[in-house]
Amino acid sequence: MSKTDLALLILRDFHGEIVAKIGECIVLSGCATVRQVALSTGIPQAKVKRAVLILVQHGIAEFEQNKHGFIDYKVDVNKIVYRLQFPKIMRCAELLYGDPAKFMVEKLLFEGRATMKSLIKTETQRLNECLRAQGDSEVAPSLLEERFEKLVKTHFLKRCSVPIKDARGRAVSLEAPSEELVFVMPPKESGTERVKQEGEPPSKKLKVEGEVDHAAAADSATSEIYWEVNYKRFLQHFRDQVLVAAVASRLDNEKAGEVLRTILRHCEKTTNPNEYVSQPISYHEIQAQLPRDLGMAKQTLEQWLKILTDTMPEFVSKSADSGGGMYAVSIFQALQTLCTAHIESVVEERFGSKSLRIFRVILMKRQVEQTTIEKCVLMPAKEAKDLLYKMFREHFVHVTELAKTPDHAPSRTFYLFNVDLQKVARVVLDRSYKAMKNVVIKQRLVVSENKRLRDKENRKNVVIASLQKQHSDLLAEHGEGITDEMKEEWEREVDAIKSMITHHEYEQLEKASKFIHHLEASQQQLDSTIFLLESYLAMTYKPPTPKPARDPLGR
Amino acid sequence: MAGRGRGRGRGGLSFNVEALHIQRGDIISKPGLHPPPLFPPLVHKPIPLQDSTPSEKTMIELKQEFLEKFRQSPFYLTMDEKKHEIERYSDRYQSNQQEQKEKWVPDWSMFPAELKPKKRKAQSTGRPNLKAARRTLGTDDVLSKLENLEKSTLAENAGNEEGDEEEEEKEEEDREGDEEEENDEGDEEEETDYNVNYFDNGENYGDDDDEDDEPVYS
Repeated sequence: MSKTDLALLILRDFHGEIVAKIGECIVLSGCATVRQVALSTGIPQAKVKRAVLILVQHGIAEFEQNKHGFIDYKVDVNKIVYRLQFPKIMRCAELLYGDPAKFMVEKLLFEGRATMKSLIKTETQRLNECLRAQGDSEVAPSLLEERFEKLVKTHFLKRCSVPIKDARGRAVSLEAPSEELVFVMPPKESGTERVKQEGEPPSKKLKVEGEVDHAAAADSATSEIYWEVNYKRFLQHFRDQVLVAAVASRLDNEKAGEVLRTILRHCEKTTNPNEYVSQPISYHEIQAQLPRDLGMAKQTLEQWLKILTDTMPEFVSKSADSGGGMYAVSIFQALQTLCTAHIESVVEERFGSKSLRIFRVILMKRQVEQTTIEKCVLMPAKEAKDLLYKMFREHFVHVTELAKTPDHAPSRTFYLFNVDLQKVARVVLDRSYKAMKNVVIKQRLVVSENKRLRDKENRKNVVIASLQKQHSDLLAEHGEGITDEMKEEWEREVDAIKSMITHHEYEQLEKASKFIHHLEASQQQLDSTIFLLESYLAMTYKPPTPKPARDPLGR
Repeated sequence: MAGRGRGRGRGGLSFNVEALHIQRGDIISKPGLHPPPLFPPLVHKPIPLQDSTPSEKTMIELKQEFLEKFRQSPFYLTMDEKKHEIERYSDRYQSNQQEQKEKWVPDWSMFPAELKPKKRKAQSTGRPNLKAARRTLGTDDVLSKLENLEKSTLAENAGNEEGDEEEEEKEEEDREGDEEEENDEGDEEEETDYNVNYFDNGENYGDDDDEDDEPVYS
């Protein structure tokens, strides 16, 4: 529930009050028509339509025709919460493919979706303006086109869902593009065909390259294709980064991280992101794909792989000896380890180190009776019991009842304490969302409290800037004619405006901006916890496998 | 509890509490009747935040910039502010700010048709478009004149008995036409319609002369 609350707050930050209210209405009722929303929120229909339009444009809402012929709208809370990752996504695009990619991704995040043509056109213009301001040379649209292609090939961008039209040509529901088409660039028009550019990082190649050209040709001819950011791919990338950082910090060496990064890069192409264990990769392949500038010798790589498999078997394991040794990353295990570490530190900070001792004993022994715990943790029975029940009350520890007799009488029942990591992860996640919500609310309060002062400061800055410009213009015009007295006069003018904000107000402003920065930083750090827990839980969720078709002969 | 009171010495619990490892002397907390306190005392102080790295700082700036951009964009909807009781001079400029946002034209083929705002036809101002009306009247006049002329020539050919009457009619019509021309000129000079007779004798009822001016109820 905290997640929904947070999502609505985020929606409000990004799209304003009305959209948040309408989002809330749709989320709480599951799905709703425009009319229902207008009735229950009391907002005029025209505004509701506008808000829903914005939600659909940004991919937050989906629509579908219900059996009465009206169009139902649904809101995906996850898509709203992804907005917390926006800065990370932009930064990631910049680090991977440079400024042009960042500009394009930013635009896509801002508008929700765009066609390639319009995107490249507007962003080339914007990028060139920026470059001109910095005094750099301009870039051609073809550069952006190439970057766009790379982003699509590496699955960071994908095609938008396409509306299905009814008989009268009206859009009634959305359909995700077929799997082989999602990441396929439309074939180029004959006039703009260029020589294919090399120099792409070796790991980032499309899985199904060239498989579906004919289908793509048919599709692009019919309509303009809209593109959007593929959040899941970015999240996967972040997840891999977390694993790399974990290895690097555990072994205290960047090179170890690079080895893992190389393996993971290879896995991106070969393994389904939800797979528990990646496809094994041979030693020689790792060696071939290792970045050259790392300058790692054969022997060093071998040693690092040995250290990795020995000290961190939950991350990297050796699955076979063929091909110089096959190595695989157990992504799920690694995430679980990280998650456990996170939860343990939460327990320590929340309940104290003695409780952590109890918690670890339960984790180690899996199912354990209370008397055994008391013995194992080397604590007075009473204290141990006290701490244990406290954790039980907060849902960090669970109990399994094992009745000896069918009447479940307490005296004839074993009570086995255990820790269900997924449940605990959910508890911690919910609290993190709650904390995040509190931080966001506090931040908004601080901002609104200091709004007047900030406005005043902005106005002051504008006035001073315009004055200074005026002065410099005068100086350029008259040159020598300006006396020192006049200059002094100017300075006095500027000082007078500066003194419009008192010392006390300055202090307050300083304090507020520091506080806001602090809140932002805590949001970021909370976000990293949330991200880890979410990606762990996302892996535990397996969509129900379809039942195998029954053999007609009954064998 | 009274029904079960068979006099075992200990409390109201229906089972042997020692199975839960609660000893005789332990205090079992009473069931609480009050909600837990809103702000329970913080036993463990949280550890201080880690200092953010430079890249995190840039991301914070990015985020704030991005949010600001959203706030200025057409994707940000705010409630209409309540009109102040006293109209203030500054209000004019505040209302302008919303309109200054850059326009966003969605690709309507991607959205359900119902989301598209309907374009209302401009409501008629209540004042008939005199000029247009008169211009059509004028052509009618010409037509009727021509008809009359035709008739008259035919009549002249047939005989001169009714000629006088015809001529009189013609003269009358000419006079009317002149008057109307004068009216036209007067109208162009000053846009008033004081000298126009608004009386409608119902002759033109059903004529679709001023289709455009009709109010649309939809």
